[in-house]
Amino acid sequence: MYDAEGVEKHLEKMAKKGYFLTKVGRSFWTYERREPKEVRYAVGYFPDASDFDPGPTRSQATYQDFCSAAGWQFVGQWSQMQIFYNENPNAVPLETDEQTKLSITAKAMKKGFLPATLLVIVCCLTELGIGVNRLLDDFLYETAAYFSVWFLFLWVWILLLMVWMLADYGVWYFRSKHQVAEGGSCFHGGSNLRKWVQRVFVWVTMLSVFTLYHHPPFGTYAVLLLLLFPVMMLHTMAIDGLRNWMRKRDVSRGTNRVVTFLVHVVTYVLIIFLVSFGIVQGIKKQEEPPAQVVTLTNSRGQEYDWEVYDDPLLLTLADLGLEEEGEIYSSTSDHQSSFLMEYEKGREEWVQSGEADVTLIYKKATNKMPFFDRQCAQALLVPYRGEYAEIFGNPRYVPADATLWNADLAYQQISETEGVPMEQFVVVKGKTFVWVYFPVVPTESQIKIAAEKLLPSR
Amino acid sequence: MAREKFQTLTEQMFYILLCLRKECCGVDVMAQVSQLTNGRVQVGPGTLYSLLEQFTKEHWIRETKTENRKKSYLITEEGEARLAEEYLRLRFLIADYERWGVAGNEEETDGIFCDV
Repeated sequence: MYDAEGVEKHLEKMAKKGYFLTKVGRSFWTYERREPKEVRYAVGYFPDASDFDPGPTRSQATYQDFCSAAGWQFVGQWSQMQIFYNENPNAVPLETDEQTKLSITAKAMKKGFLPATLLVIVCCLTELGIGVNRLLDDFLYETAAYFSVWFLFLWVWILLLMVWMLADYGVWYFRSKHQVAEGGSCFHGGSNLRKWVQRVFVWVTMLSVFTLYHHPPFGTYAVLLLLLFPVMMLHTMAIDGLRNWMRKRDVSRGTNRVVTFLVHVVTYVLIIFLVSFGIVQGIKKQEEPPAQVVTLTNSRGQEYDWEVYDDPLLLTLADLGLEEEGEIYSSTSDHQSSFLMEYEKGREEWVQSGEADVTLIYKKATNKMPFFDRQCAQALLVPYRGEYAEIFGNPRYVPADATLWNADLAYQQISETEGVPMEQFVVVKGKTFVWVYFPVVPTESQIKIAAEKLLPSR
Repeated sequence: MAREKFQTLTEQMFYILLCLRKECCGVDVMAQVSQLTNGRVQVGPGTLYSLLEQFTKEHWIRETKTENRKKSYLITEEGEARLAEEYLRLRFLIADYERWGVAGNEEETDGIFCDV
């Protein structure tokens, strides 16, 4: 936006190759192929210009008249940015006074570029806030689920770009101000760096989208996300079309702006809704159907349908010698893995009389980061935050004998009032963090079996 | 800001004001300045537009008529005063230049200027 020189140079290079800019759209610029020619392009700023005007305002028309009198033909505008074309290589530039050039550019930026960038920054910060809050709620899952990690990365990445753009403009503005005050010209240069930053940003973003595809649990989401890009592009084009259609019908700037904005927001929400709906449907499809459905009658004579699953587990009730022959057991597990964390949850229930009477649950996390060990242990010892903590209550733990577990640290739950040892354990061994909820207070031999199954051997 | 900007007139400002001592259409100012200075001073269309706007705001010039989006301007008394002030300033510059450049006159301006 503020890099007039970069845009001018780019357009002149395109013209040399035979591509001449004919139409300036919001997302696409249209070129026309003609005989290659060395021509000049100039970017000026008209702070009062708006993309929502039915045509150039009176003052803008006057401005364009001035330009055409000096040989500069108007090509198109991008918000406040005005692009002109001139075949005369010795034409008088649009701006011949550096002080005027600086103040007019700054004024245009204050109207367009700065508020837009700040808005994106606010959006990024809000998303990051939500992300970090989720991270604190379920640290192990959120770090192990590649999708969550990717989204956090994406927001930080966009935020970095926006901050860089602001800083870059700031440098340009203050250097120019300084130079102009000393009788010099506005600050030149930086265009190359800008081009590189843009390239790196686009490439890294694209690559990161492709990495999603290689994380199996989210394969289908990645496809949806890849689909999202063309859909978003079509959306932007459609909105552009609507805006232009209203401009052609002489709809006023204000009305056009409000209608475009409303349609944009509504359709955007609709797309997001459809995509989330698609993702949810995708998950439903991905989920394996239960191995069998049994109908059971509980003690009060009510009938229940119970879905019985048969997922593989690291530790089973049978391992602990707690499985009775001829009974129905249902096991479910979930596995997430990212470059930060590996996380596995398992649960086995003895299905009897419509309720789960005997339940074994475990969570196992392997921290792949050099830090955050404390957060991992914390996530298991204090699973609930905020209002959840009030509803469910966090269990109380005391240090227990780690040698039984052959681990570094072990904690056992005790009852709230009498301090009697209970069924929940948190164990740390190297980078592995485990939480187990036994169906009964385990014996030493049961603990040894659990340690063998859940913890890595040294 | 405006005051700081206009403490001394730039060449372009000076010639635009000079042109507008005769009623003139905005678009034609560019060509007139160029003609007046034999092409030495050129005013770009963007700069001209901004300066005309600023001058109008400062009441140095006023709009006289508008013929299908062609606006004509004429200098005001305030503008004339500003132009005269600039003329006087330039006269001082010229006088100082002539005094300083003539051999044998240097001793008159000893003191503070001699070290420069």
